Amino acid sequence: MDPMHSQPDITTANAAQASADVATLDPGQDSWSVAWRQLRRNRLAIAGLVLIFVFFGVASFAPLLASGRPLFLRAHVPNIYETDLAAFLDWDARLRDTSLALGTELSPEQRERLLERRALYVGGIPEILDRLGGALDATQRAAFEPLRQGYVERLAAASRDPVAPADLEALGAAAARIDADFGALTLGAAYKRAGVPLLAAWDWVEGVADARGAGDEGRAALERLAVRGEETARAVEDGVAALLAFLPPEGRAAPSEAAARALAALRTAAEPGWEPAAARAAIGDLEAALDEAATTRVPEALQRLPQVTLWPAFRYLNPAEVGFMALFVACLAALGPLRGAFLALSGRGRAVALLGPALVGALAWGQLVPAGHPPADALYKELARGLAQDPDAQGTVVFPLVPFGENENIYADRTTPPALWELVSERAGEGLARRLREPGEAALTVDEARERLGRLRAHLLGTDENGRDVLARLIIGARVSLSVGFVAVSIYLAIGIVLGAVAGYFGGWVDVLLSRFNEVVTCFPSFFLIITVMAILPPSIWNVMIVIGITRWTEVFRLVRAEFLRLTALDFVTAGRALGLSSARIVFRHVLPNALGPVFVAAAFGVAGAILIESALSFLGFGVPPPQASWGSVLHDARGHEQQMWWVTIFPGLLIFLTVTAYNLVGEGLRDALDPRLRR
Amino acid sequence: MWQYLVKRLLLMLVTLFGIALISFLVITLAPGDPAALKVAMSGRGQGAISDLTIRKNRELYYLDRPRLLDTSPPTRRTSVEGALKDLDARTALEREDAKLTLESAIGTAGLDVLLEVLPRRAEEAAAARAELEQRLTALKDAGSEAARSAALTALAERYPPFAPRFALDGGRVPSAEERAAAWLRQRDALVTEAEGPARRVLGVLAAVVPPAAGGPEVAAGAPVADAVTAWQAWWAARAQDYEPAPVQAAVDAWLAEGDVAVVGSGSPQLEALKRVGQLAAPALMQALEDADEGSPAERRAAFGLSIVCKKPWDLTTSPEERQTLASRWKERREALEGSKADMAPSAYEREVAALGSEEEFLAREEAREFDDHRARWADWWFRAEEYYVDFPAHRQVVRAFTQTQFGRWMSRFVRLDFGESYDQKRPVIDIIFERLPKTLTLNAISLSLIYLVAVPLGIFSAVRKDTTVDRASTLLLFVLYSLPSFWVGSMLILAFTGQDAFLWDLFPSHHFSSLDADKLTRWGQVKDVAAHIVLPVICLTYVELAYVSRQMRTGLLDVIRQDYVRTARAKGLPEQRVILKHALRNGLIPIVTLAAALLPVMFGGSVIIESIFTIDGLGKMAFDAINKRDYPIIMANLVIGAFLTLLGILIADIAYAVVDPRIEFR
Repeated sequence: MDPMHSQPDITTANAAQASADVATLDPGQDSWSVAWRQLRRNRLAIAGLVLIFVFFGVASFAPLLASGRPLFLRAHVPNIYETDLAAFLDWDARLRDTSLALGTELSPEQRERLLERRALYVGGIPEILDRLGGALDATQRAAFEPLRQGYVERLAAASRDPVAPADLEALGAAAARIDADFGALTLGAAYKRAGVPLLAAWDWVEGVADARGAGDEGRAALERLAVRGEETARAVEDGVAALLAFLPPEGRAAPSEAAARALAALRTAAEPGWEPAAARAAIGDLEAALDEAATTRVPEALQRLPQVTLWPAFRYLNPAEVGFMALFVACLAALGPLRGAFLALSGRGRAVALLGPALVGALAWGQLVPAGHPPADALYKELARGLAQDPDAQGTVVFPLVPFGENENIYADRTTPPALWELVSERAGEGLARRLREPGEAALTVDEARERLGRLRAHLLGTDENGRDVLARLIIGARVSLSVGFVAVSIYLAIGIVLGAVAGYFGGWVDVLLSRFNEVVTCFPSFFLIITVMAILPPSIWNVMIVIGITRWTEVFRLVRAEFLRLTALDFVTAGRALGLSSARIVFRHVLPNALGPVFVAAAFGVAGAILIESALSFLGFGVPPPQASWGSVLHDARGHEQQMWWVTIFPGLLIFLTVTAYNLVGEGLRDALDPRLRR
Repeated sequence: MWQYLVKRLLLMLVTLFGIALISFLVITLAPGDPAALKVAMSGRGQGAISDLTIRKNRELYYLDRPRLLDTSPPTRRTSVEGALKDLDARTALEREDAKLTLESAIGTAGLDVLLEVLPRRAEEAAAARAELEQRLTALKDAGSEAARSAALTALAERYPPFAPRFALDGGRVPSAEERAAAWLRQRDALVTEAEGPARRVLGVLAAVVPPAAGGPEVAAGAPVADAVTAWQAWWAARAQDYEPAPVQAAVDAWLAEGDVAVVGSGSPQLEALKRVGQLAAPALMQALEDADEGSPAERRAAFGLSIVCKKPWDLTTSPEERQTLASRWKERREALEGSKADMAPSAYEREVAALGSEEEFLAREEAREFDDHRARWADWWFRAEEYYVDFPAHRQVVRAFTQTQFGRWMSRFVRLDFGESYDQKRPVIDIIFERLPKTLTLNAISLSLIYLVAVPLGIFSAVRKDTTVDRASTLLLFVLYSLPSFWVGSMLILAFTGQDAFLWDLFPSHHFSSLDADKLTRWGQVKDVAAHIVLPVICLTYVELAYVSRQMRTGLLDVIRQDYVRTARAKGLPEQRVILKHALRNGLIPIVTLAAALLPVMFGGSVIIESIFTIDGLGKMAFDAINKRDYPIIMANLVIGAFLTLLGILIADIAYAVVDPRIEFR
């Protein structure tokens, strides 16, 4: 770790060639193209550039390369639907509670907190409803749409302040309608809908039996229970009907007969001949019949919910991610097929050609695709596993290359060694057998387990303690690690260049003042200063970038100042002054371009340094906030158990090392190319 | 040359000021409240942090003061008025705190202001009470639903803490009648609250001047108006007792009495001093400053201060208090004996045995406690002065700069006083000196290794320029330079430590020495430490080694191209002599000065390496401090790091001037 120093240099063989180039300089060529030609001859530097480019490509496409969400999905999605429905009902209930609470006297803080929470519900519920609607087929959606609209319209009325109780009731009714009509579209939900009232029925029967035995006191209780008897019976009827809808016609007879008997027993409780024992038996029968119906295979089980076609990995991209992908594609095109056209453009044209698609793509994406909260990654995995286990099930789920998300904790897979290691090593194979054993299954042999290891359970570079896939985290963490270098260095280049230019151009007391300031900042060991500031600021990747940016500009300042001191003494600056050009024009149009050479060299090494600092910070735990991945933070996860989890130690470090080496090689090459005299 | 040095040192002063400023900005401009964190750390497991505790800590660390310039530094009057404002604060804790400030800290020094605001507060209390009665009547007699709800809202806005809380069971909102009834039930509490501002001031007055000290007799439940009249009458009669002249007389009388031991006996001088109260503080403080160190007058003044101000700690004065101290010692000893019956005699017993008697031991402890009281009182006075003194204009101008966060930071910066660690409750400087040897050992070994290896390697590489050996070593050094040291550390642990070591179990992975190192022989201890520090030293060494070696190579190549080297060769000197005698001397110059620049970098590196290998040095201390948000240690680290770098730069400059006669003196 050595951010303080500038650069080591590596000898290249073509020093003589370089001086020859300078000697035969074509007067029509600017110095940059000479430098570029020089750089291209340096094979190591080019290798570094290519490596960096590839890493940037991986980083830009990270959300499509490593994600727990499928790229493409065509299937019935009962588990996602059920989760969404439960979330909807839960949020609806909470929203109404919150609104009620807002109707009373509250302290300002309480009120503010509740208002915040209500805004969350009001914003989130329509999104969940949209997702629910998206899982339906055309006819179902035609029925769903008015219900959804009805709910959303009432949502506005129910979130007004102060709220009218009638509005809240209407909202609750609308939610109940949705639940009644669309709450039992999946077998799981229907089974739950039938099961919960049955439990209530048990309670009720016991209550009535007790009350009957209690004489006079019992009579009042019996009257109260009679009211609930009808309610209970209706709920049981509802639930049974919902479940029966999933059964083939020939399978419906037994459960519906049992249901009729149980309902009769519930409804005749007030009559004198009512026998608690018979009622208990009837309910027990119904329970058994329903259990049997639901556990025997139900062919229509999935079919009440249509197959949907989704692009989850694409759907939940954010505009910035789309922008970076577009930028990378534009760069790729400019380097490859469209090279000629690209080179023909002017400097400004080239910038537009590269950044234009990115900006347009990001803006268009932001406008066209509304942001949303994706369902949990585990739901997609569960779905895919269900499809794989069920030979009759139809559906396709295409996962990305690395089918794991940045923070997808798979509890069963924690501390898994790399897949290849698991396949080869005997000890790791035993772990694999334990890991892949399904609940209720006899122990697997190592060979069986190896055969069974599929793409969704294979972790190419292993997992960490929390069961997060290391490769996925490295791919996604590349975004942080690479962008830190870029952004931090841009920040300190800007500061260093401006201050250095001002100090060098104007001289005098401005120079004295800025140089003193520079010395003061230099005096703080930058790593100490950075960790100190990071101790005070909340952990966030932006803070890391900004702090590196504002603490490490001193070297750029010194370089630019020295260049300016040298250049402002030259004739062309005097000529510019004589022509009456403004200071800003002389500085930025004439002096600065000539002073930038050493700055670029420093920048290349600076990026390497910034990457090292960020990963060291994250390694110590002061960098990116915990669940977020960066190469350093993945390394941090292995601290203290290096030997138990060697894979978590080795791979991220290797990536950091490769990137830093690549940048250092480019810096070397740049220096040799820009100033052949420095070559040794 | 001397001129150069003097100039350099003067510039260093400017830079030092800059360092103070920047390190100050680092800690203050950043969001987050160190005081809150301090409370959070020391109060672990003691429930939630109250806002008040945080505020008190802010005061303790001067965080309540402006950062750089206080345009109107607090005076006696504004302090009293501020405390009076807090007396009506929302939470009971804050009120209690303001009451304590007014009664114990400011005391008699605030009497004039208190009596000045009293009539106005009495009027307000009467008005507030009338308004409350009217509102409650309106609520009781409200005809319509709208009128009732308007009355409810008005009450809730005026007396928010009294708004009744209802459990929202079953989603039912309590009706307006129920809420109105809840308000009416609280009538008495509401009346007290309405008259509160006036009653609280009366309470403070009664505590500052109780009837025993000559205050008026006012019954506790008396109407506000009567009480105010009584106090005004008392002030009209007794105000002259609190003029400067009688106060000075009381202090002089107290100081004139010779013996300290009679403090507890209730002498008339003591009674007079107590009656004058906190107003005597400035005169006593003056006496304390004027008195000679260790003189009886000094003790008199200090005891006087502790009697009138009860701050910031009491000095043992009477035989009874000595008795208490002795019993506390005894309890501690018994607790110790109970838990460790078979242990050697406790420190206390050993000391008592050495001194002869318990009496003498107590006397010595007391003397020790008294030893640094002068500095403590001065520290307290720096802040507390504003309670007791009306400052003249020129002092206010100075205070505008000193009574700020930066003023305090600067004064401590100059004294290198970094305060106490939040976590360990010890002076930071002690902790640093305790940790320093390990870090120094590591860094000294690494630095010597760097130079021992890098210099020959660089020379070798330069002499054999462009041979395969040179290329290989250049490439190797380049790779070393790009390897992240924290990764190398982890990989070394992976490969060479513990039973699961990937290669060989050669070294221990943690700590500076074994836990049982003190049982080993001297030679064994050396071997033990050596085994522990091999891996950390490798990590600290290789990056700088690569760098220095590169510099050596380029530096020497620069020199070899010079004409005088060519001349040396031309006159037929053997190559070895040319390189080692002629070229190397000049080639070494930049390398020697580089050492100064390396030091701070290596200290930064120790944070990582020491925390990987759990070595209790400065770096690990910084790491732990940051994890625990132990700000004094963090800031001390930063400042010391800056000092070191500055020193490094200075030494490099001077060394350069010394070894290279070509340098120009500006």
